[in-house]
Amino acid sequence: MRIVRVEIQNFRGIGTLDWHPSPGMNCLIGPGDSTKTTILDAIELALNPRSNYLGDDTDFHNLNFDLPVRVTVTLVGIPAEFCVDTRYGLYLRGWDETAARLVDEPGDGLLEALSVRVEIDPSTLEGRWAIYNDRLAGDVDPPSLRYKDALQLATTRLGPYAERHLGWGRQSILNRIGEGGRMSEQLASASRAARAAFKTSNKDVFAIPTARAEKLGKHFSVRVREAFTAELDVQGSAITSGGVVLHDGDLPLRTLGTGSSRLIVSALQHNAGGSHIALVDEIEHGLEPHRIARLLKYLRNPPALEGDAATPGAAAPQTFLTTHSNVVIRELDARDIHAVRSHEGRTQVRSVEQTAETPEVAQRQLRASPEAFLAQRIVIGEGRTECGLLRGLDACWIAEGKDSFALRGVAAIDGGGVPNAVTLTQSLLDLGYECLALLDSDKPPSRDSVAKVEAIGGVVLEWGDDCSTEERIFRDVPWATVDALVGLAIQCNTEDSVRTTLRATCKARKIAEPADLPLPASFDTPQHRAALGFTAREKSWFKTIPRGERLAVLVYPCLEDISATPLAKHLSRLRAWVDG
Amino acid sequence: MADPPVDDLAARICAVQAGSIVAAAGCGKTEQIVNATVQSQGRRLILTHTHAGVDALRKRMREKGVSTSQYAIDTIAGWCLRYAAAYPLRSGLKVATPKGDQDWTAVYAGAIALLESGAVTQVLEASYCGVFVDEYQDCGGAQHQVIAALSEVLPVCVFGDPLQAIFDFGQTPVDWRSEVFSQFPKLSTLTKPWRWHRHGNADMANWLETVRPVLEAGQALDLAGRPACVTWEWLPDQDGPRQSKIISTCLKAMKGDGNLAVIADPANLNGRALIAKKLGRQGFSNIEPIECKTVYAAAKKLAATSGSKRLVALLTFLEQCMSGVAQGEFLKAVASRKAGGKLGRAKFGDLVELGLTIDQGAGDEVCLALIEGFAAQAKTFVFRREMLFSMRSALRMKVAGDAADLSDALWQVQTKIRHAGRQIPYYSVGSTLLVKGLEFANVVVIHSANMNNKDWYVALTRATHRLTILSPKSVIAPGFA
Repeated sequence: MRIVRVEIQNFRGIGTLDWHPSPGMNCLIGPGDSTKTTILDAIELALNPRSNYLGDDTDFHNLNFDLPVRVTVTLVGIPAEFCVDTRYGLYLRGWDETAARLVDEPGDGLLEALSVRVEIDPSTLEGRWAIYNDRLAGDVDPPSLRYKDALQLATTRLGPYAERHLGWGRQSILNRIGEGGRMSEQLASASRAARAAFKTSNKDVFAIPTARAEKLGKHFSVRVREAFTAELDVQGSAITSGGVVLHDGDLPLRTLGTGSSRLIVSALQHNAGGSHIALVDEIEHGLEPHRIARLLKYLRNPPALEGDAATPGAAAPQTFLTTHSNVVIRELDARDIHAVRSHEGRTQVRSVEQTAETPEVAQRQLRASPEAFLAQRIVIGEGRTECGLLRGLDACWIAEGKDSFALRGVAAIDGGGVPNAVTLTQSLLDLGYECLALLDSDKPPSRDSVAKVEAIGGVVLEWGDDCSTEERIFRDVPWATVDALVGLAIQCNTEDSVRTTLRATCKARKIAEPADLPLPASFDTPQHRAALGFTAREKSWFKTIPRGERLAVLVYPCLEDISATPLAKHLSRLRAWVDG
Repeated sequence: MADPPVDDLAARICAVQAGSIVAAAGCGKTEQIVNATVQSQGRRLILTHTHAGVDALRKRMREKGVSTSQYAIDTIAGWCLRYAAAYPLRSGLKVATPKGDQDWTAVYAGAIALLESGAVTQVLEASYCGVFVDEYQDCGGAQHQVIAALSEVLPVCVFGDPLQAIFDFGQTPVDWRSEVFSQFPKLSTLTKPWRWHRHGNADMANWLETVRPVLEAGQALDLAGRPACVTWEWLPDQDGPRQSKIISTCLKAMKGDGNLAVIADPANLNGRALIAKKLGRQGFSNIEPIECKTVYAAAKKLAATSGSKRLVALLTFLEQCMSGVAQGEFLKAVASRKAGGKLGRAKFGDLVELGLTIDQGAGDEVCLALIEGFAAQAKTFVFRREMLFSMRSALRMKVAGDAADLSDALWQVQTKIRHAGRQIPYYSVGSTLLVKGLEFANVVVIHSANMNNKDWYVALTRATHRLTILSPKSVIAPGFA
């Protein structure tokens, strides 16, 4: 059983949402307040009907009481007995898997689907669960979901803390495993045994009050049939299932770390049978990276236990999880990851895989810069040099007391060169991120692709003059900085190679070749600056992220002095965007 | 074989993918359906034609202690409507509450379209292990198509008797040889008349067993071999003697224990009503077709007239339902009252006052009062009870504001009757169409040229104890249908 469509209206942070989740893993990512957790809450609410459920005012989006809270969840792969005509067989709908489209009635080539809707009435705050389809729209008394059937739909939720599932209390997952029937018998006899043990124990401490009570009782002609004794009260000493918890030896399992108990509970939930839907909050909570990886693997493909009827090759359970961890993102496939965005109450969930050009591209992007997907805004450096430059600038700005990129919700990533950087920008924009791309101009991207990016709100910075980043820098910085840059190039490479390659460029360009480094001031000509920039780029003097960062450290101090240059202008535009 | 052959048949019925059982009257068809349902692995859908049939099947299931989780019983029409209305997109059905024949044709077409679309295949497979259809001879072509479409998805076994296929004018039954057997090959024929053996009437049982092949072959039936419990008497040709012979025979037949049905000319409702009228004093009453045209016509007239014309229409209707109305006399009494006189006061009492108010334009409430007043009179005998009841209920609904007009109220009343099941009068007059499927202790069959071999088979198989046949000759040569 799995969810194919979630529709939410007027629920907490969500004004409206209409989303078709993926069959297996649905990892929701997005900035804070993008209503990820609310989506989980809505699914949980819809699939776990309760009698006498009362919502509260804050369940209503923006406290709007003109509309009911309404969550509609459409399921496919429902149990066969749900299709019986006396249950929900006449209320089914059809799900077109290839077109991801819901048709109100089943039919050829469609999967049988059932929609469950919960509504919270604004006037009474009462939650009402019912079967929904368009044919029933306007029906004042739509067919309800039977309690027994609702149990089959029940989701499991792994919250931040999982202790309650490690005992047999109410709503514990342990109650869904094995035979619950004999438990009360066992508990009753334990209670009796406790009373019996107490009866034969040494009750000296109770002797004086007991004797006094008996004596005084007789004084007032209260008939004493045998004799007063102190015993355990039947009601007070009853042992309930909540009092039974899992132990490891003598140690209750709840004393395990948060991560370990969440791991055990998650495994139990998946083992409890049924084709259930799992909801996991902050999957990384309490877990080291290797345990996150293992838990994700387990969730995606829970191994069948011995004697378990689970058929091999059966569809993996559907899981909805939220995360803020790049470890999680790196472990997952592009198809598992969905970006959540909320804008003026309209929440949208977009699949990373489907938004990218091809699934492979999406996967590459995720692996390359998982952290970017957790940011709200992304600066895409065309290549490693630009990416390093951006990060270095971030450090410089922080040192100067400006807000860090992180504080501004911005991540700087490596775009992987042209044209990748542009397509990446495009798909990130499609996913709902705000993007700025910092591009070279020596191999300019197609005007078309830039125009497309700009059309959907992306910002593209190009150096102009057919300059690469290195050429732009060597052109625009003061001569002292040029000196320092050459010094950096020597540090990153060797003096010999820097000199040789630079001389080769000069020779080819028929300009004076420097005899030695550092360059004398007489070489401060546009031609030599160009030659320096060209060689730096051609010979990859700074083409790693750390080198790029160091580049920034050298360039940053002089920016104020060269504020009229394209370099400084572009970088101040960048800063303005970050602060915007 | 260890198993008795009957149980073996139930097992075969359970296992068959598509089959039919031909069952002569009283030969344990319902029993077979119940037994096969008990042996079914899963829930069995059992379809029949009338609500009475549904009730009878349910009753038998309860008596046998069959769990309700083992079966679902419905009318073919009701089932089709439920499914077709649930999926209007696939069925193309537009009406939710079908009224006339046209609507029902659309319901069947919708059900067929739905079944053929495959939209409910999973629902059907989840809901039922198979289908039994009772009284298959009553199926029309559209219903047969529905069942054929169902059998594409589920195992289907149909039960019926082509020799009991009796239809109203204008309906076409499904043809067994060309349509039913080709779709549902014959599994077995039930020929042992258990019903009469159960009643301790082996003579009748044995005789009926010999009657069947004769009528089935369309041959003339010689009553010479009849047992003692079957009486034949000569029926005169001329109207007068004929009528008095009928009446005297009925009066004689009444003396037997148990209820009595008179089976008369299927094509002549008024002729049958006349018999009931003559015997009204003895408590005879007509079995009405549920969609009785007479009452609709009367309702239309009542709705379209007012004042004195309305009074006449109402009295005419009352005369159709009961004896002792004396329309002419009553109208004179009303006229006299209008002029301040007291004519007819003694005979009609307060009814005259009611008549006068209707004459002066009073509405439905007073009409209802007048009907009830006449029905309560000691000297009136109602012989078309169902018709009177329908009109009275319809007027009541109209007065209470539960219906838009009288025809609509009548439709609602008749729908209710169809669901609740009708009460068959203890002494009743009907046609083979109206008594098929029913049984009576005593039956009088009155020969009519309008009865074919099937009519005769149905007529002869209605009595459990005593059967009286009135015919011009002791050899009956009905038309072959």
